[in-house]
Amino acid sequence: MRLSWLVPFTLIASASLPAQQKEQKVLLGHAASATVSIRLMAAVGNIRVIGWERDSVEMSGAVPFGVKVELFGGTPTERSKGIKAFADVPADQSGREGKLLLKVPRRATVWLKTGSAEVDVSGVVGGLDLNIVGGSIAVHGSPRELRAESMDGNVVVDGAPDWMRVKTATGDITLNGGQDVGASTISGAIRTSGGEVERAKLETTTGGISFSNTLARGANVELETHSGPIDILFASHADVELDAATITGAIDNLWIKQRPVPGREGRGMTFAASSGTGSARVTARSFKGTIQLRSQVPIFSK
Amino acid sequence: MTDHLSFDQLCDLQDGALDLRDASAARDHMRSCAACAEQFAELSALGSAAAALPRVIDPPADLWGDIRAELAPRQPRRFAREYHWSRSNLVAAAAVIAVVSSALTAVAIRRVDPRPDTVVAAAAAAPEPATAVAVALPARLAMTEVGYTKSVEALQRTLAERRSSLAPSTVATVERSLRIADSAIAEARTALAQDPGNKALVKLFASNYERKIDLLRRATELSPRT
Amino acid sequence: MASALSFSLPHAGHEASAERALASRAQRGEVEAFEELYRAHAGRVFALCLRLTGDRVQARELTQDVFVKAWEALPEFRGESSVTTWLHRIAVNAMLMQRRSERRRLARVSLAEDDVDDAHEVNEGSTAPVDVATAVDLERAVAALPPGVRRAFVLHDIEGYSHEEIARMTGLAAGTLRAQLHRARQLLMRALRP
Repeated sequence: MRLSWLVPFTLIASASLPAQQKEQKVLLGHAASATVSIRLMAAVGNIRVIGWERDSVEMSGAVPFGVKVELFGGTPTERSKGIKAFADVPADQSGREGKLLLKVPRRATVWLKTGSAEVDVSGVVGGLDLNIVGGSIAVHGSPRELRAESMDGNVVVDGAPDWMRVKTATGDITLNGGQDVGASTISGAIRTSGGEVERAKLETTTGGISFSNTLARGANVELETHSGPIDILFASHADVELDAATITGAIDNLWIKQRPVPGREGRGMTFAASSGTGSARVTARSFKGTIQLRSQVPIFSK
Repeated sequence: MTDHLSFDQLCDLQDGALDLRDASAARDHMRSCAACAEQFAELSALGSAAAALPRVIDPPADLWGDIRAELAPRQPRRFAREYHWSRSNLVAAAAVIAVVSSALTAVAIRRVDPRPDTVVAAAAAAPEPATAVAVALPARLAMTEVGYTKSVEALQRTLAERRSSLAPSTVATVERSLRIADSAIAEARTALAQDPGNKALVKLFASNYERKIDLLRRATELSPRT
Repeated sequence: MASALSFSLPHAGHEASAERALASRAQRGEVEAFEELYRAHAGRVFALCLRLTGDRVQARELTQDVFVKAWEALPEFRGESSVTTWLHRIAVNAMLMQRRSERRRLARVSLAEDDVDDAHEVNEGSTAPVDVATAVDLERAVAALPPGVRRAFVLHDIEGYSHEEIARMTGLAAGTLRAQLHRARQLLMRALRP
């Protein structure tokens, strides 16, 4: 057990610093269980979270003078199962400055809430629950579970979480991988690709949806928008059954030799088709956005 | 009583669970046994401290908004078993309506300008699309919409209370997104009034509301000054 | 525990009749009336949920479930018990049935420090004066109890329910409940010794 490096488990940084100094260093740590739950509320501009091969949590970085940084983990000599950390910003500061680096056991569950910040997470295979307003979230690796929410911040996930749910208002969502995927936005764009998806539900109000994942056998995918374009890129030999419909929008089929037909009462379009054994199911719904269907090897073009 | 009282006996004494004779014997014992008397005093102090703990702890300020968003509208009894505020039931409701009103629907749709943009443009011009639309939905869909709008109103009240604590840029983002959501709801609603049996449309209509409600809920949960 | 006993008694006079009127309006679907009931009872329900779960995040979700379930069950509420007692029964049942919110959220952090926050949020004038240090220590120690014994202690020693009432709420045999309660007291006394 590596306890020798531990600094005091609570540091209120740091009234002794000279007032003219603009930044103060942070170094806090605590012994932790391998599956520790960490909760961080930090109003700083840049937060990196790294999963490491140690049974401890370490938070380091630099924050503007006046920011109060604390970390609680219980008895200092015991491995904590729950750690809570704060970076509280005085009312006269924006909360968009400063950097924190949080190192956690790889299997940890991390809950993070901040304002406008660049958040970058890598190497965590436990759970992630990330909440920002602006800035961005980037997750590298494959946490078991991932929940990410922002207002206008973009979210990028590079990896294959077993389960992920991402929501924004105007921010774009880019997901490269994932098995059980949910993404929802008002006006941001959603792009998903890579990996082998088993279940996906992607929805926007005006943002575009681009789906080019490989479909697992028996996969179920729902794509839904009000007015954004939906672009579906099928693998060349996809086993899929497709059901697409618009209320007033068009369906642009570059996938297989079959034409969409007019919708109810001659308005909008519908398109039902299958390829291969049709074991996966894809449903696409759009009010007035165009649904475009493509194949990696086009066999039909307009 | 020569041995010490057991902890169970002390607890039962405190809870009044010993009969009179045993209770009297226990008290007699404690008069001559400092250890038991001390333990009983400790137990009593714990009981007093527990009973004196505050009964009321304020819940998070935004909790009501979350609860409100989950409350299904209360229906008249005859509808109670048929109806729940969920997408699947919305679709089912629309299917029923489709059967009942198919003739009316056909007439209505024939009157609609076949050019899609006509409907879209009319809806987009509505000033408060989600609440002040001119077109009427069939009864059950209208009732469903009431449920959604009540959730929206409750969350908007909560958001209004918190508005001054949020960053102006965040407020602007939320308001812009709400306008987009309202516009989409209005478009879907107008189309739905003309084609209430369209299952895909019912689902899109419900999804628009649900995204709006989810956005409002998330906005009410934002930390101050973010 | 005299102060606790008053808790399960129906509200008296005007207050009780006002509450019945609110419940009746809420039964008819008036969300505003239900909101008033929520405002009146949320603090007590949240306090109970916080102590039953020992975790602030879970307490929030449990409280949410309690009021959503209460809304759904209101048409069957006959006013035979006070609204508070009725809500508490729903809370205990909801916890026993494993909350649905557990399925919809990531496992979150349980931290003793939350209890410090809770102590700061206590409503003024809601109870007799308490030594703050003792109360905080006790809250922490209660939160650290194993779930079963914690439930027995919270319902009996803090909320003041009788053994019979708790048995009805939880379905526990009297002997089990008694053993859990005694165990809870033993653990707490050990934890609170200097």
